[in-house]
Amino acid sequence: MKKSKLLTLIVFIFLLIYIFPLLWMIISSFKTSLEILTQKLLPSKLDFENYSYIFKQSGVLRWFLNSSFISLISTFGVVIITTLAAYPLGRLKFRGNKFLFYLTLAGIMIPLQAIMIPRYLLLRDLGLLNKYWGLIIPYMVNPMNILIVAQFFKGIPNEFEEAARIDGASDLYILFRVMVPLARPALAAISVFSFVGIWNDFLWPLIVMTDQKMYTLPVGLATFYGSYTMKYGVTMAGNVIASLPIFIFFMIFQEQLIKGLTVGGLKE
Amino acid sequence: MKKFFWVLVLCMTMLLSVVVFSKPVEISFWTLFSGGEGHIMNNLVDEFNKSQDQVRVNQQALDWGQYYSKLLAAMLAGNPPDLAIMHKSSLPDYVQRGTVLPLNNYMPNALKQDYLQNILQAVTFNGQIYAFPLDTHPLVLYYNKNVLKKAGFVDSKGQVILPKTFEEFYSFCKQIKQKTGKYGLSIEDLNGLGERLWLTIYRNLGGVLEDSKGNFYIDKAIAEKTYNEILKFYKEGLTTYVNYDTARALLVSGEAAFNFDGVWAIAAFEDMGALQDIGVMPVPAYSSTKVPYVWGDSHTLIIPKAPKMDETKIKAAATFAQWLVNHSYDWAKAGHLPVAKSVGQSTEFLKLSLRKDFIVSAERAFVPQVKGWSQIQQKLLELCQGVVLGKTTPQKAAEELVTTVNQVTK
Amino acid sequence: MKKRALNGYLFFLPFGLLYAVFLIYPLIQGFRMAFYEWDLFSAPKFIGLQNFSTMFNDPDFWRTLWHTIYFVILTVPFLLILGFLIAVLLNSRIYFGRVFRTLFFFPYVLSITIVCSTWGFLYQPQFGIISKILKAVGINYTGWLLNPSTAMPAIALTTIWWTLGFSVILYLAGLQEISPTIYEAAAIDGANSFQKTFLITVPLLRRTHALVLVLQTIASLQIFGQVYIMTGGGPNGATRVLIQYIYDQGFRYFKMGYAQAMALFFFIIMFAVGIIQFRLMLREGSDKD
Repeated sequence: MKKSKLLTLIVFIFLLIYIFPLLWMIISSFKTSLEILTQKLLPSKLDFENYSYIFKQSGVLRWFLNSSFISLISTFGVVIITTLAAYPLGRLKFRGNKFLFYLTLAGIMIPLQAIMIPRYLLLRDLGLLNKYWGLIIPYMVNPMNILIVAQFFKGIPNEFEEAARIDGASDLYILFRVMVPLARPALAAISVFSFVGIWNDFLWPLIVMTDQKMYTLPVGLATFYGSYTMKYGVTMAGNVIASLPIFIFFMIFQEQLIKGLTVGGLKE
Repeated sequence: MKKFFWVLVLCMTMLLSVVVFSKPVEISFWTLFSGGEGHIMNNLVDEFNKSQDQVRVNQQALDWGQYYSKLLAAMLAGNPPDLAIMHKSSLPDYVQRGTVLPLNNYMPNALKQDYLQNILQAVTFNGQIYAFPLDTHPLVLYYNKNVLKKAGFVDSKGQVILPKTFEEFYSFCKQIKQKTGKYGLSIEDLNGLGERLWLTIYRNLGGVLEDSKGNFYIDKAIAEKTYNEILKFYKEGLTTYVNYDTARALLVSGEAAFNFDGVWAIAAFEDMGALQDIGVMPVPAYSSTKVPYVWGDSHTLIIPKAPKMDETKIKAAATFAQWLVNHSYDWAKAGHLPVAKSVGQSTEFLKLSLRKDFIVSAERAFVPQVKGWSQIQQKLLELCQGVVLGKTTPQKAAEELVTTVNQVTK
Repeated sequence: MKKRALNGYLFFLPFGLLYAVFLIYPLIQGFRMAFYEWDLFSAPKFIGLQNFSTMFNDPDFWRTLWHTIYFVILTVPFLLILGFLIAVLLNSRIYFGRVFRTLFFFPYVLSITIVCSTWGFLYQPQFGIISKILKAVGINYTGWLLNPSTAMPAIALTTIWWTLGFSVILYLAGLQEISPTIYEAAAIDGANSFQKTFLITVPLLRRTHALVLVLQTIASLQIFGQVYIMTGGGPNGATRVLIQYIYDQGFRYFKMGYAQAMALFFFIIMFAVGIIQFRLMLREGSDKD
């Protein structure tokens, strides 16, 4: 089939408009306050003042490490817990299997905003407020992931499992030596998908973390944007710094992410 | 990943051991200052830390907008800071909740006597002192000399002529609009408009904040009049609806002649290098006003209650708080007015520029002190926005305000 | 067989435990709290249905509920239509299709703060680029986030920009499932590409439409961060949404019972939408079996 140059051009122009806010963010991050106030289109020189301000004055690095730590550990936990729970739902036939399945399914109907207050109090009683684990442990509970992986397990042909069973393998062995390698695409998809979701979460860290040093990147950056400290150049530089790792991550794991979205989406 | 975790654990342990084994008492201190104010507070904390080796203050500057949510959440979680800034207007809520430590035993008598008595009363509840007042920061009126001169408000000596009453102020704005096409006034859309200016006008029109039984109270008729007073500036194009930094920018760039803002803006104007064109005066009252008032809150220092209180930390925090009050002439560089008599009369304070132009505001300053204030405050902001944006009428706004006040204080 | 069941429950246990503690328990607590008056500092006081009667008589509750629905109306149709059109374009015969897809999708993974502060800067009245561009073409308008009538549309535009990539990806997945033979048959019947798109693709993607509609509605109903960062609910409360009102009542004024009563109401709305999602999902499941 022949490709159309005209269509390409239309899409390209639309795309340029679409990503303009990001380009403007990058350009503005090099401007001085005066250049922003006087509406200069381009900065007069490549000024890294805003960037050095960020690294010197604020806890951006700390927030970045917090976000990385929380997202990585939570994702790790999600994968383990999900794999374990999805296996009986997808593969094992036993009394109560259906019940557990519907119980999990019911979980996706609970919006977190509706339980944010009792959950906050629970974390307080557990002494988890302002702690990494106060974010990490709740993040690990995600019924949606389990349904996705269980569905994937269900689709794996029986031959693989039977061969192992004849050799006398245990359920645990089958799960980690047979099922997990076969389900790698699904697991990769949910881990990337979870990671991005946790990295970007705003409401929950806003509530749980009271100490500025414990903020995640999104909550920390929001303080730059407070109405009494309008330093747009610095804010934009902060945005650029915060977008870079996500951009790299996105470039590497794009396919998994898309799969996670569509699989999750189509199954939802 | 595992490696990273252990590295982190190691770092934490090291940090902990430093805290445990080194000599000075470490206290955490939460503030909500940024910009010029933040800068001055940073310097003061540094200076204190360098001046002695018994106490080490770790300041944490939080975002203004999130400050109280965070502070209260930390108190609830049982890990509040050892010392925190709190506005006088917020104090009743926190004292009533039992989250603030009474300071009678930690405040030296000399300091008790040095404080202006009205400010010490404002932080005393049932005979207990709950805070070290640090300053008072009233609303003031800034003006751009160039615009005033262009509009002809200048005497034979080249000095600008300033309005003496609020009526005069209004007519100045009108003439400025006619003669120069610039705005007479600029004011930000949030607290500046709905809380600070509104309360100032309300009281100068004779409105009271307490009924005969001492409960918080808003007079509906005067509230409506206050909304009308503000609305006419917008209706006649003498001002425009803008946010905080725009309001400030309009004054500095000469697009507006007057600007209402707190005294702290002086530090910001100084930072911008704009102070030579800008003057400051107390907010004018009406010719009919008997006792002129102006909105003015105070920063105070409180020691939050924690499940486990360490006597040495309390003492260390009190030591620093006292030091800060005694050095508040430095803090006054941010524009704030000192509340300790010795500082107010000190040469260090008196030689600061412009202060004599608005020092009278300190005596007129008031701020509502009522339980549930944050909710009334939110309503004030919104209703005033609604009125000037034409979304509601002064009459309806006054009614809604009174309803909210009744709900909150019931 | 017994051992199988035991293993089944054991494997499920870690999740089951966390699920019970962090989802089910707070949910039950939430139901209880809605019947109490509690500021977290004094003892909770049982007040029966009073929180609910306060809620139904609270004009701000209805306003914030309406703002939330208004936001859904402002975003979801565009996320459907634009998402579909862009997906069709990206799926058509163009060069660099994958690169374009990547770039369209990228904003979706940016954190909400980055998106909102960047757009807040674009909307800035005095030196924002949007006002400047509009001025260049003769439109003198700077209100945006400061004007009650444009603030919510402005936030909606930001949100559309942010999450459009998600719709596009879902549509692309749907498009790839359509067999090319259908189009070839249509081409033989003399259909042009416009007809093909609207007479064949649109109806064939019925399920994808439903899916995008439901997922984006759920996402939009939960709006909080955009408002919190960009306007704080102003001006004049014109952008205050339900979740923010719950947040304020709970975490700013510490009216836990009242906040939770509204949270229950929100739960019911989400539950209703969730049932639709549930049915879509089960139908999908049975298709595959």
